[in-house]
Amino acid sequence: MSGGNAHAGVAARGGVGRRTPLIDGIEKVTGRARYTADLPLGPALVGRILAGVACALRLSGGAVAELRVALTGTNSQPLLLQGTEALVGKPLDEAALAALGKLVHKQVSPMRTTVTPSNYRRLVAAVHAQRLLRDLAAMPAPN
Amino acid sequence: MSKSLLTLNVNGRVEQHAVADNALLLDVLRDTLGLTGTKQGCDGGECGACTVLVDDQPQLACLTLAATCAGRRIETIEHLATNGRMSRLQQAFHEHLGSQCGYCTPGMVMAAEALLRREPHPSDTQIRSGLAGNLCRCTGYVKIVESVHAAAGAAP
Repeated sequence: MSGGNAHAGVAARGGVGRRTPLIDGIEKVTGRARYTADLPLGPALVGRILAGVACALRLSGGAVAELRVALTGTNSQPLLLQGTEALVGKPLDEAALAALGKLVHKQVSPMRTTVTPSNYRRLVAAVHAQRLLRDLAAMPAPN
Repeated sequence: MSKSLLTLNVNGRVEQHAVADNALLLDVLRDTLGLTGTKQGCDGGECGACTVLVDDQPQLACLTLAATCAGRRIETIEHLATNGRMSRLQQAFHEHLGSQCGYCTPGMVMAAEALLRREPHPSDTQIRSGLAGNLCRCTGYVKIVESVHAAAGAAP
């Protein structure tokens, strides 16, 4: 069907140049429309995503051969962590994890929410990156 | 925090409620009275979604202590429709697509209501300045201003 015919079809149905009221318009203008924040939570289990972390790690002889870390939910777009090459060639130990935590803390810029300060979300992102790396390398958790 | 017994006149109903001294009007309206038509947007006085009328004046319920409203006349979006019929302002917002996602709409409508009460036939500039404290991320405001004009034009 050509573009002209398509337009003619819509026009025949009265669609072009005609306002179509919202199907829930009346609920919205009267305040009856219920949004997430308007629903009573009751005993519901409530979660909140503060940061998402993905890691790609290759170890060679106990040392880091390749490491990439990506974060989501913290910046206006997914963030590929810069500076991880500084850890290449080094053993994946507590010092390396501390360095990684520092990189994350420095580069993420989460927004403050009503209940979560920005710096708390930075810390959560750093801790999750460290935990993920610890899991990947099967390192024992610190006491 | 201690609670006090407050006499609140909300939407024409006068009731007594035990309210914490630091409780915000917004929380009392939404949580105690269940009037969730008043929205919590930014919770910091920037967006206007929580606009209600206190003695005919638009006021941000998220920055108002409930205790300061004792004995005053509070009106929320739920008060505008009578017997299930939308007010002409609500009708105009509905017909002229003054709302899209609708989250800012109750605040917009209440701010516009206050404007029309003090200025029944506002100019474009008066509408824009009357709604300057209300943010909408969907409509681009043109439809909202048109809605208010339409409501003013349809005045009895």
